[in-house]
Amino acid sequence: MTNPQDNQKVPWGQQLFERPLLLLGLGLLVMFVFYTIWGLIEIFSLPQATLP
Amino acid sequence: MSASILEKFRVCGVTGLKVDPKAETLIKMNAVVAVVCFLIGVSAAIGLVLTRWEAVHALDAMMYYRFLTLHGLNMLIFFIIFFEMAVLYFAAPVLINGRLPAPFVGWIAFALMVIGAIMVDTMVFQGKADVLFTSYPPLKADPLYYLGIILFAVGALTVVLHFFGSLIINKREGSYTGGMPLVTFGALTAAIIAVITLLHGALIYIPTFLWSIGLLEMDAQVYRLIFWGLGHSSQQINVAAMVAIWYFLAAITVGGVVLNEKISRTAFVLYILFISMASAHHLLVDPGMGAAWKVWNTSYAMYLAVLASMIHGFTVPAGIELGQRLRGYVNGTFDWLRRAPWSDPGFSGLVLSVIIFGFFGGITGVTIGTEQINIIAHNTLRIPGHFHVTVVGGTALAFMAVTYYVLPLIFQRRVAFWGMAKLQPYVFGIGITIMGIGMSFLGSFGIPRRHWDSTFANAPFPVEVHPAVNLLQAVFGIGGLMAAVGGLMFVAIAVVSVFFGKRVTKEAIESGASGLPPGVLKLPAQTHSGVAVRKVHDAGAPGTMILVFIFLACFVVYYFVNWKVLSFLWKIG
Ligand code: HEM
Ligand SMILES: [Cu+2]
Repeated sequence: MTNPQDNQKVPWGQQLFERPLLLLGLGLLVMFVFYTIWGLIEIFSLPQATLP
Repeated sequence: MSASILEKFRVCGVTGLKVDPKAETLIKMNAVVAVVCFLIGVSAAIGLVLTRWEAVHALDAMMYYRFLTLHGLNMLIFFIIFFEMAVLYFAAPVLINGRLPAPFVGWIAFALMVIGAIMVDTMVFQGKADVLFTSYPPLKADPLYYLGIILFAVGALTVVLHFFGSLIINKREGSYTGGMPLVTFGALTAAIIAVITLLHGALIYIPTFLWSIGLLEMDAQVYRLIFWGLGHSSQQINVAAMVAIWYFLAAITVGGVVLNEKISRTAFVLYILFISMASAHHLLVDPGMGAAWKVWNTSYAMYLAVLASMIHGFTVPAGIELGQRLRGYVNGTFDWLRRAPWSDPGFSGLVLSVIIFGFFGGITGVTIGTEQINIIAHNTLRIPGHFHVTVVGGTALAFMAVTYYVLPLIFQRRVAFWGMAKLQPYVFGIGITIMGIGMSFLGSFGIPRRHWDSTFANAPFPVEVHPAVNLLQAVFGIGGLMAAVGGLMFVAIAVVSVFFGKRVTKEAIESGASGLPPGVLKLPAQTHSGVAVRKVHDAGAPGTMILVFIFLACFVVYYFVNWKVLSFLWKIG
């Protein structure tokens, strides 16, 4: 295993690649914010249609 | 890790990987069930082709929709996802030399998925779920149908979480040091997207189940929004898994190199962040959603994921080119391509998958996913025309190609019908491409998807069908049947190899026995230093560069033509 000293030399991009749960969190965040939640807001803020 | 566990591992004679037999068994089980589902799907496909081909028009309307439901579910959901479960077990623990943390959990998940799939198929066969795989309300299926889907999804989610556990535990136990292999990283990408997918699945199918037993109201627009968070994102699990397999196959068939780990991994991260939101392209004509939401999700942000695909679409062929050049095929621009192992189904399947997915699938997808252009393609046969070249010509073909390596390496069986296996990727790949092109053009002439009667015989107003449609239907039909034959060839090869195949032995490998792909007979060496390597690296990948520019030119032309066609819709002046 790497010792902590080696760890300091790992660039941040590489550290991101090695953190599955962080990536998971980011993936969920982007999807839920832009697609799901924004989408639900769109639907629930629709005005009531007038009867023909 | 304790020595006693290590002793139980099998060391692969070809790759040197330490294989946990418990993971191996789960890979086998999931792969076998995947092939069974594929067989059901192909059988249904034959009925569909012979119905949409108006000259034959075999099934009645009821059966057409039942077959369509069966086909969509067994192909897109069961076949693909069972196979992906096998891919996950392979990526971790096998590729990282680790152990499976909780084999028992793996079996429970497998049982849930099998039970779920059987419940769903039973409902469809009994005619209690003629709702197509999208099951849009107010169409209502038997509650057991939704319950089956939920069980299947819970099982799949369990496998995905087990995969995360496997990555983390094996890292802690020191099975692998430094970064995880790129292929595992690709599988991780697939797993993350799978969590996004399955959460939407839970969010929509649990309420829909309650609605089916009369406990809840259901809003059709909300259903469509959340359903496509599942339905589309699941396609991106496929893309990520397929790309991971591309890297694996390139390495094992021709010693393909990874041009730049950082770039390939960054591309996977772009998938994680931006690919799922493209789900919005299914709602591009929905009145409930605003333009900003549509355009942001299907264009601006999503193009970062398209960028990622273009990166992989470049690095995989370029990696193959460099691999070939390192093996000595350095003459000219395309010598490496001419002298590639075209009779290795693992390799030919890989190349066809890259071309069909990237070229036909990518170009059509980005174009019809554009908010404005979508209006001339939505719900026409252009849509299945597009996704049969992505998920079928791309993903399913990549899965078939890798099967030719899974059979000897995991099942330890020589590939049966080796002569037929060499042809199979061509028959399937070319067939599906012809069918896809046929569907695309039919769609351009306004022929709808999911429609039993392309002639609109009973429509309340007369519909004029362009005469070219008859010809195109023949193209579509012949391509479809060819693909079905390719699919059946695959099933025959896989089943006979698994159950009756000759065992892979050291002697068989040494004597170059038939049924062993070249990469198994002699794993291509990976050299990373020396004069020859320097030279190859300095020369770069000129062949791939030319191919890339041909691709871009076609992309521009296709995109432009579609805007032009769109402009005909509204006559100005
Ligand atoms: C083996 C060769 C295959 C053939 C010949 C074939 C043919 C067809 C045909 C004719 C349709 C009906 C289109 C319509 O009438 O709207 C269809 C639909 C579909 N196919 Fe395939 N297909 C094949 C393989 C696959 C595979 C491997 C997958 C997925 C991995 C797949 C996924 C789908 C889906 C999702 C639909 C749409 C179902 C719906 O509209 O509800 N197909 N296919
Ligand atoms: Cu989609």
